[in-house]
Amino acid sequence: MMHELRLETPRSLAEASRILKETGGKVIAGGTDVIPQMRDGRFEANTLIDLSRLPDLDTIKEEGDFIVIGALANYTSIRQSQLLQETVPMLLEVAGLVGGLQTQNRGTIGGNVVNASPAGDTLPPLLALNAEVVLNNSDGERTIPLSDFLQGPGQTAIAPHELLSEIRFQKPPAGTKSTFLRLGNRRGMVISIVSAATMLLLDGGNKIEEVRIALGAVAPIPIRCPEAEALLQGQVLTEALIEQAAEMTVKAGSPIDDVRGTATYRQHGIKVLVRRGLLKLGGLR
Amino acid sequence: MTETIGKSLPRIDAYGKVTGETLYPGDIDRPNQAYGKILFARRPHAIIRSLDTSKAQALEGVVAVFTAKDVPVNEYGLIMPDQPVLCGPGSDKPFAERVRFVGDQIALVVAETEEIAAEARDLIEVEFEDLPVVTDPVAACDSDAELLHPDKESNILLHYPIRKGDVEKGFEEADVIIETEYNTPAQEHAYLAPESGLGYIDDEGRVTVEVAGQWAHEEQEEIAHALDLPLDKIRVIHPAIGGAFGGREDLSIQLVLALAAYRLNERGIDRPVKIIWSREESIIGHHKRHPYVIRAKWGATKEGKLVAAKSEVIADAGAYAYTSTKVLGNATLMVSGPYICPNVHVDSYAVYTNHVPGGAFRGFGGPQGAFAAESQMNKLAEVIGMDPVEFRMRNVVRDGDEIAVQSPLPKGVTLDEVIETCAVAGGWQKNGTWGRDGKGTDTNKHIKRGVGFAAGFKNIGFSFGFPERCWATIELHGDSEIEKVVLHHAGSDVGQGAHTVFKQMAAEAVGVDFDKVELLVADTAVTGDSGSSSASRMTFMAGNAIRGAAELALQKWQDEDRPAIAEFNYNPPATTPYDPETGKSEKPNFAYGYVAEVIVVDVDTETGHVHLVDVICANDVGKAINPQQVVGQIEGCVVQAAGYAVLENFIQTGGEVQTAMFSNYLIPTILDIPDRVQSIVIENADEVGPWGVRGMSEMPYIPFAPAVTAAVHDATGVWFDDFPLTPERVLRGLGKF
Ligand SMILES: Cc1cc2nc3c(=O)[nH]c(=O)nc-3n(C[C@H](O)[C@H](O)[C@H](O)COP(=O)(O)OP(=O)(O)OC[C@H]3O[C@@H](n4cnc5c(N)ncnc54)[C@H](O)[C@@H]3O)c2cc1C
Repeated sequence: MMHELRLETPRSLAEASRILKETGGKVIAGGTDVIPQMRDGRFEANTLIDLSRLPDLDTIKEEGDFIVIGALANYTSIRQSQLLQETVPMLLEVAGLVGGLQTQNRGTIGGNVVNASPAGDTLPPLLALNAEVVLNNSDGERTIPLSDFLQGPGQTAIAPHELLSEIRFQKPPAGTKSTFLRLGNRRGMVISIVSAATMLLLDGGNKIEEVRIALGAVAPIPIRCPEAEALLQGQVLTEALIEQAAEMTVKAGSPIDDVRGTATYRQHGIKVLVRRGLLKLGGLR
Repeated sequence: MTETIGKSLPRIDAYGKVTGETLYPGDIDRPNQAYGKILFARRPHAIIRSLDTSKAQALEGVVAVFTAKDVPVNEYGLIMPDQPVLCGPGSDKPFAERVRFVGDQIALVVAETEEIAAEARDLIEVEFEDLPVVTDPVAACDSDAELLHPDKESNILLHYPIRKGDVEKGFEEADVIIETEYNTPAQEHAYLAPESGLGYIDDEGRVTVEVAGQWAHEEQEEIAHALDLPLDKIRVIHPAIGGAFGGREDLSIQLVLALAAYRLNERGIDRPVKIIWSREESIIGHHKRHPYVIRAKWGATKEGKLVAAKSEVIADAGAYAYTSTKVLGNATLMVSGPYICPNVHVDSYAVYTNHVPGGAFRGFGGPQGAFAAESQMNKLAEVIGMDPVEFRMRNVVRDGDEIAVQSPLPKGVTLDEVIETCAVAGGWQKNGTWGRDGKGTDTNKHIKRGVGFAAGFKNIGFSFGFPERCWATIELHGDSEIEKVVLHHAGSDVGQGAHTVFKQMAAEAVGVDFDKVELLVADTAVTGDSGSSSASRMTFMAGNAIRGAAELALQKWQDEDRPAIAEFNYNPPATTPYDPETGKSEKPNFAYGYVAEVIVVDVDTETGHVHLVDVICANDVGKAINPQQVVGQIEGCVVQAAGYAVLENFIQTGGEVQTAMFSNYLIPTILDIPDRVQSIVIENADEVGPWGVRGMSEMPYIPFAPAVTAAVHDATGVWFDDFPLTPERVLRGLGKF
């Protein structure tokens, strides 16, 4: 039970990878998940590898058609990003909802992704964006879709000595609107009971060129709603159609009962959030 | 000299608390201290068949391990000693080897560090024989239910009946009858500072405990009993206290700290012992607000006269008695409301279960009783088609009117004025009768607005024959004029600002400037018993004690005594217990305050969220010694009651606490509290209160939940008889699934 804990603070990704390989330590970014988990005794580690001193891993930038968010970007910097504001406003919404200001100052997007909680709030938006994750180890890097990366509650495709360096996604076409909505038992500082990210691009005639819907906290991992997306694609957006799509998204989830809410409430919540998201993006409400 | 009462003087503790200079018990360290960790039962109901501490004792760095066999008199309890100090074999108290809730304490490990103590705690081997777990207070009343305390005949700890008039005849006269079962939840106090403190032997050889509490002399007495030591061998000090709300009315770590200091000293080990509970330990380790099941059947005439009120009240007392007598007593009184009703029939029970004990929590059973009473009033008003304010004004007790216990409230009953004042502030008008136009605008077709009203009364002080007391000593120093006043007073400042108003009242009573008063407070070594900082009593009781002592000291000053020193014990008018057959009581309480609330809500009928928009809270406080603090108490009380009504969902399944962390026991954040709180402070002097003071810091709680459910009903047309109004409960109520 009692042991010494070493803290390593590497100054480069290569050094971090090396230390990770040598020690098999636990990576810590903002620590907002790691520290509570450590206190709960959910893992034991002799070494913590603090990524916070790695240079350049907290930037948010454009690379050709892609937007690249460094794994160490925290919620406050996401909230303040002009680029994201213009291209994927739902990421700013998420960042403003996570925890409180302290959590937003410390918590990183990379930590949220690797922690892979079914209720992780950045995950539905990133899934909706078809995001990819860039993983590094001392031998090199690989890029895989987020949908392959997430494998179960707290389970990912990250290999033992890999680090997450970046999250990338294609810049949505101009005119794409997006929103993130969630339900919790209180307004602030709360773990989502259901969350939904919706993206919508309409042509001039209110016809849907592109639509994406992703849900959080209603399945072991955040999920997309391909049937509902297919139903909407190419159609003229109406309230009736939205209702039909929202109904359909309920079937995409497989929610459970827990202390926060029942499966029934979650199913109801999916419908409400998807409906509200689409109505809002379609300017129908 | 200037008048010092009635002024919003800054809190004397503000600077230290804001700058971090102030030390709370957890911040205090003493040289050479060791650390204690408690082994909790973590099972709801079991017999401890064996307890082996040898591995823990053998761990390097362990100073001592204490168990039941080390406790001289292994029992304690504020109203009856029904709880072992440490559960387990080896003491001479019958059934002390049983654990009855998850937070029962089994052993204390004292070690060089907290980590070693925790490791040693986990090495203690306990063999449990599990017993059936009793979780339903209604079923627990059955004669064949598993007994929590085999030395008692039943799980029913208390029963209070009230019989007034003929309730069946009353129902015959009624044009409308409302019958409902209400369920009110448990609630966690969630004070900022979890239990922490130190036990040591002081310079004069006293077993000393420095800890946050509400009633130092009661703690001293309970420690003396458990250690079988004379009172003057025990000392209790309350340093800065990080909130209490009734949650420190009963003991938590005091007894084991004292035990450790005492036993270590016997072994020639003179080391202070420090304990700090984690939040999780705090949540399972101290009592909760009692959950209640209340079945009410009330009748009224269509002219709006209440004619019958029948209620069955069942309080889940959990594993031990704690303050159930007081909590049930108040609920029994308040469940029939502050209304004239010729026929009243109440049976109320407090029942043992294997839940975390029910105990004191702001309002002492009042909020539970009032939830049923005020909901019944609102529902009756609705079915007879009368405005809820008008219906109350037709039934409210005024001076001389009898309440359910067949006696009038003490003179100066002002509830009618409080109701009217609050109603007017909330948009009501009197055009012949009281009414309100509309209920505000719905945000959209899913978010509906509603307005609710409720009222209440709250006793000041301990009731029903309790020997109320409060000591103060005043020293006047100086020569030709008074240069310095020293006030000795035990009263605990639990964060409400008690010490600031003590100082104001002492300055006023002696007739000197505020700055001339020095306080010696919250230490049994230098003060007399003040009674508890609870039941809205401390300003009232301390004020009268301070006045009495000041008067005597000033006389001595006149007689040229230097310094002039006087002590005074204030005893308020004696109260009387419920008659065991009829519940009749000449004077259940010596004073009351009166309160009414208008609450405006928005209900999101799609997500189930209830948002509190406006709270208008009118209180007759008698006299506001420090108006800013009175408003602070109103606002704080509103926020806590908002958590109770809407948010806080304390879940126990099979006797296990599911919500022992702040990540799953949700209390209001800044985003969840009402958008606006309007505090209305009314000052109609109480006849016996010092300068007219009544006492007020529980009052806003009393009508809060029923005002919220009335507002939700106004918004949605649905009555909620259970709370908290979590989104899920609201949607179920609205028939969404
Ligand atoms: C008070 C509070 C409120 C919160 N509210 C929310 C909320 O509203 N919504 C929400 O989704 N979450 C919430 N969280 C959870 C948490 O803040 C987020 O998941 C956050 O994004 C985690 O980031 P971090 O940098 O703190 O991660 P850390 O705790 O440092 O790490 C999390 C996990 O990721 C791993 N890790 C981190 N970075 C990397 C990397 N670059 N490469 C490989 N592995 C890595 C760590 O080893 C660990 O397993 C809250 C937490 C707290 C304490």
